[in-house]
Amino acid sequence: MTDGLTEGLTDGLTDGETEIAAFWPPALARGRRRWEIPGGRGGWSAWTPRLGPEDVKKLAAELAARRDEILLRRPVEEIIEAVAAACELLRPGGGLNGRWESALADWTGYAASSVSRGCRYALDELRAERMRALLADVFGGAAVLDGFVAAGGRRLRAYGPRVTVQIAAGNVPAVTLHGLARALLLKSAVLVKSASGEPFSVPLFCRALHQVDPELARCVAAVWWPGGEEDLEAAAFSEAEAVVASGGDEAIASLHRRLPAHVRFVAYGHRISLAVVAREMSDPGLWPRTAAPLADEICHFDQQGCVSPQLVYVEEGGRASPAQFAEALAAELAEREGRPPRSPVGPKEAAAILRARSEAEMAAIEGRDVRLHASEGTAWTVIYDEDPVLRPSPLFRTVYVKPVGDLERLPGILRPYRRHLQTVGHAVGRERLPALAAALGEAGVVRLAPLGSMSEPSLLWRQDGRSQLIELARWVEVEEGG
Amino acid sequence: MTAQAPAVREGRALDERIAALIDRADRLYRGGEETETIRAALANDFEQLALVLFEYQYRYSEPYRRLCQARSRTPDNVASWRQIPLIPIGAFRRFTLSCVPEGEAERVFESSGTTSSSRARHHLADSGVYDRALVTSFRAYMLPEQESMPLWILFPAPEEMPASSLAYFFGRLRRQVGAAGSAHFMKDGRLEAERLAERLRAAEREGRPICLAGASFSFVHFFDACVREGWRFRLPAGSRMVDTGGFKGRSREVSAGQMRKWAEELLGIEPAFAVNYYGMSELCSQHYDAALRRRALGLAPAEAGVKESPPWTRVRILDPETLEDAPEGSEGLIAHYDMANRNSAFAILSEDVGRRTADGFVMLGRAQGSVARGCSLAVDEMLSGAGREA
Repeated sequence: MTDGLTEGLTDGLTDGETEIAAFWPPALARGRRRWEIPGGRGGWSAWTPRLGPEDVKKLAAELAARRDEILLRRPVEEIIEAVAAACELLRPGGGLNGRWESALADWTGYAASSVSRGCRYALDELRAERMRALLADVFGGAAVLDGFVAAGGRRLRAYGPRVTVQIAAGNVPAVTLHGLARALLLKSAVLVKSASGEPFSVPLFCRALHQVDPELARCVAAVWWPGGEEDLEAAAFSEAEAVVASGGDEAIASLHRRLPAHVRFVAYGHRISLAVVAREMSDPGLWPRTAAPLADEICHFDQQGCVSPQLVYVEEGGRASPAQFAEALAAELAEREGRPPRSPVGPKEAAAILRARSEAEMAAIEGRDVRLHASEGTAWTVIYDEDPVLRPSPLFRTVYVKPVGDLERLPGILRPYRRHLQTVGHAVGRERLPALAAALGEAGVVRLAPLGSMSEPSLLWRQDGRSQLIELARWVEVEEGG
Repeated sequence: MTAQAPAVREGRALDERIAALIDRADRLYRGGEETETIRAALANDFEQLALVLFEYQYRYSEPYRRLCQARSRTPDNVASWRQIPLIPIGAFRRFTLSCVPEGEAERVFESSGTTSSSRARHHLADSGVYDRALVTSFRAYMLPEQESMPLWILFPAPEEMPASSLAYFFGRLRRQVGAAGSAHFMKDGRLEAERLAERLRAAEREGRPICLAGASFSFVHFFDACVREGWRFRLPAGSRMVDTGGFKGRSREVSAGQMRKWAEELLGIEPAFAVNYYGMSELCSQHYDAALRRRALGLAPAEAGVKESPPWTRVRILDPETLEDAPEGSEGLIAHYDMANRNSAFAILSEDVGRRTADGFVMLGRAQGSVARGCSLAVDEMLSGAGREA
């Protein structure tokens, strides 16, 4: 089952040089011109075959046929094992890890330590027991995907889409693999359209899958095309039963308009995450459990993930005031400056950071209690602002600290933004957490996690408040006669 | 006679000096005599006057003074125009930036914006300097070879939009350089496309060149109408157009290259004669494409899209990490120094990104709305209210 084009890729990514073949399967390249994927840094280049609408349509149709022929007859447990084994190949020393992490770090500009932590996290969550736990959580196990199961006086079976098209966002390395794995667990063939920001983890995973289970690797494809190629998207959608997309609200809305009505659409749009420090935790003696892990969350992928905190509410009445917490957080960020360095930003991103700073400067001139703590360049910024209104940050290690008289007031502050709320990282006394969770959940928050764990949600996470597996499953039931 | 506030009195004296500088620049633009002498004198004037203007604004603009004090920059330790503290452009939304008492300002322009907190307000003590500046640079970059032309304006008349600096700008030009036959082609917020098309056909027959001027989005609407209706014009040689101001959600975004292409295909205006200028309601001065001026005067052609700055202004491209001058060719934030902003703010840090070239600068985009990658919510989306549930 090997393919000449694959064998040449000694490390799974490249031909040993710096040119990355960012697609799967290899046969797509035959006789086609190339697209160079823009945005490469660190000497890497990446390319994909220049597919036309007919090519994409054909690819999607082939995937549908292979799902019927291959995936439908394979037990879920075999898929779990193959995915887990493929992930093992991507781990350091696993045979295909090779230059994956260093290429990712160069390409994305993220610190090597963040990338390697991010890859480890993505792969850890795809261990076999995690996938089994996911199915147990959602379906009570895998059986309902392999056959009919008696339940409530009838028999039930869940089928996945024949083909799921996955539109990736690319802001956080390797996490696209989770969505891909979820679709495979439903025995859906998957066509992934990678983002320019991270175009090679999926193709690499496909090659790894090819090594451990070539038949399954025929049920996945990884492609890329430039933004705005709506003909190609339409071609992909024509064969899809489901589309899973991550991205900005505008991109999601545009996709939604163009999707055929029968296609199931699972969209992950813009989200904002924040942190909450209760008065019992606002204590200089506890900075290692509050300010320090919060600074780590901010530096991990420089807030580019939607699970990263953009602002922190600090409850008044603790041993340290919210303004003192801001100072402590600034000190933690200063300590992390350059260790490792913040990813490079363009002038527009830097301008947005400077704008946030000058807004703070002007508010202070107006006589409001706003205090700016900032690095020399744009490396990090902490803005203490007495106004408790929710305020997204320009990211790249920029964070607002806001006082709140009592945590009970928080739901009222957050509720207007409920459609965008996501993770709340908390440093809150154990006895107060249940009430806070209930109030924030009601206000629109979909996940609470201890400070330090915000960035790495479990595979079981019902992202943005919904389960991808449940949304993609199609149920068939057999009623037993009396 | 009531006593004049010192800010008014000193401001008038400053205006005279600024007006003299603009007149000198006008002589430079018109060429002919002692170009190098004028150029050197202008540079010298600018340096001296900048420091006087800084002192004036430091003394009479309270928000600006407090900003300077917060940055420990005062007339005592500023020795060159490059050291003059830059006020963030957002200050026009937040503060009243006026050296003369607010009630003494002759007019206040407001930028477009949906809420009062998102609208910038620009206080002019006296429109004399503004008028002189805008006419001088329009002549230099749009009419380098003649004194006047019929001006056809794709924007509402000032009476219809009294707070719009752009409406004022076009209205003033129509009065000062618009030849007989000048007209506005927007009424009650609507572009009169049919009427404009008829007049364009008449201009074709009569063979008299015209100058079209308007907001970029008005041109897009007119070009769309041309395509829809199948209209094509071959305007007489020497006809020209100038657009400005971007699209602001009033039409789709169109590149400057596309505008030039449409101008050529649909109107018969040659690309060098389709000019764009960069301006904003917070600035009294404009920065034009130099292509028309250079072509009309037989000078070497300019790189497309390069904006030139008039001699009473300076533009710097700053490295956002250091806020020092970015090297030529690299992108950075655009900082403006505009003497025609005598009453408001001379030194302004914009949120626009640009690149310096040998002859000027290229505007590359606005910083807003470009922040988020992937799924993190963008600041502007939230602030503009898009993130809020109704």
